[in-house]
Amino acid sequence: MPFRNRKLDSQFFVRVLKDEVSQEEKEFFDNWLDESDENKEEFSNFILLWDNLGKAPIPILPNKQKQWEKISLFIKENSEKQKSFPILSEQKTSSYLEDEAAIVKAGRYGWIRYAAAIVIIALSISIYFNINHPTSKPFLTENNKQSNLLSLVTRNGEQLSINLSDGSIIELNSDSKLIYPENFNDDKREVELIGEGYFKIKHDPSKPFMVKCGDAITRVTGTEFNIKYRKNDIKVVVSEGKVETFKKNEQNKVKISKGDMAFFTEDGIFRVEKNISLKHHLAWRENILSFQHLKLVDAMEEIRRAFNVEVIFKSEESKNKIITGEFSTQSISQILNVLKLALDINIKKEKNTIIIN
Amino acid sequence: MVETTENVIPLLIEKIKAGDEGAFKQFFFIHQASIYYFIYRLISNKEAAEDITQDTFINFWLSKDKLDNTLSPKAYLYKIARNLSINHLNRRSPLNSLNEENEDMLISLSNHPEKEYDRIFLMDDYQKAISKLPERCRATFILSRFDGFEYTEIAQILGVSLQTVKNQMNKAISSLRKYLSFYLN
Repeated sequence: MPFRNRKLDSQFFVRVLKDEVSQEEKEFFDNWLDESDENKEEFSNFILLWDNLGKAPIPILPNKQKQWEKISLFIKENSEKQKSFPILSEQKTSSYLEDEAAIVKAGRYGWIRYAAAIVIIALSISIYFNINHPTSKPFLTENNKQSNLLSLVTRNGEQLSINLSDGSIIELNSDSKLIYPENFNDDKREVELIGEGYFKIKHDPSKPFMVKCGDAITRVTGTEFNIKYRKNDIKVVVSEGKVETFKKNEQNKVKISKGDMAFFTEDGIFRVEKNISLKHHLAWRENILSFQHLKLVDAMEEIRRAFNVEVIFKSEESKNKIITGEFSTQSISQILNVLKLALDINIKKEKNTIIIN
Repeated sequence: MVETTENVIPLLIEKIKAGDEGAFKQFFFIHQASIYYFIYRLISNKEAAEDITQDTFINFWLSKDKLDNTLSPKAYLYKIARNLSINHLNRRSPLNSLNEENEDMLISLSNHPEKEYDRIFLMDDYQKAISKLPERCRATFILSRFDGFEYTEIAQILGVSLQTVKNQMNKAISSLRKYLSFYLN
């Protein structure tokens, strides 16, 4: 395919940005870029336009559970087939992720950094994350002679939600586990979480609802909150009402309300932050990865979870680069492209492995 | 270009084909957001986008037997969403087509304070610029920019040739650039 005399137009730039070009085209493009400052400026302007167009605002997502109920109702009315509930089984199902065979090639356009830096939204720096696998083993809740314990497990790239017997709804993020009784007993509702979940708890003052994460307990009567329990750090974020949270065997109970976050770390530090960004902490529910002044190594951990990929760092220096921004989890290639340009690093994607130099 | 491979048909899709509603629920939870945003970007109407999202998944379920290897399940889902969106756009009477969001657009364009615009305002204008593109051009651009599809997949979803996709992308970018030139200096 001869393209040497071809004019480099917008559609070609799009393919360059998305790494859809062949090696030959890529070389041709590199030479074209080096030819003149005008060419560099033209491509730089294109990137600016392309990235800004990506920030067109979008409305709040319709409630998934409600929408599913409507769809489910329609299906039930129109189908007599037997249903099964694989949701409750722990058997492995392959997560539904497109196998994007795209290979992100080395970026040598240092100058693009500046263009890309402009287009990454600088959000306020507030919270430092440290996210990894939970290292502790799950422990069972103590008084679950009440009924059969079930567990709901999500793997990387999966999100699920579940209705409990009391009408509460729990949404589970990727790589998480919820242990809950088939039916609650008469005086309390207890579940255990490893990973991350969003809880919408049915109001019932006579039966407090308790979530155990490691040795932290969150207790509510009816409210909405998010718990993130990764690598022995626990964050409880309240989006509706009030919750009470405390360490097991400790008298010191803390009440937090909407917009507050309680933060437990492994080394026993416990603090509360007020007026946190709910949008940031609940972004995962809208299929958005929200990074606020996050180390690349930690950001990649979230990407690993969201896309079910392996991540290999070949450079220690790259691990500590800082990234801030919001990314839709629709395309891993686009996220990697932005990281590559913004941080001036070399990222390759080979099948399901991401290699960072 | 290497096409997106589907060498292993995901188990989830196999289960859906076998009529497994639980598997379909997982499929819905994974794709709901991207499908809703895709439809919203096409039709610029929040309420209608919600309804069409439901219809898209219902139609997917009803036509799951037609799923084959010529189109990825995700691309098939987008194809349904786009067709239903076109139906919606065609159904609107010319009088209704100047909906609230479009009215806002006209007002904001005429009253635009030349130097005081902030980022939010600018973002609104990007959204409006996209909504002004002709439908096919808009669908092409959205699938590429927001949904991460490659040109070959976009051609399949829209039922057009690869060359048409390239032409539509050029057209989209140059229209958007022209429309936004005021803001981009």
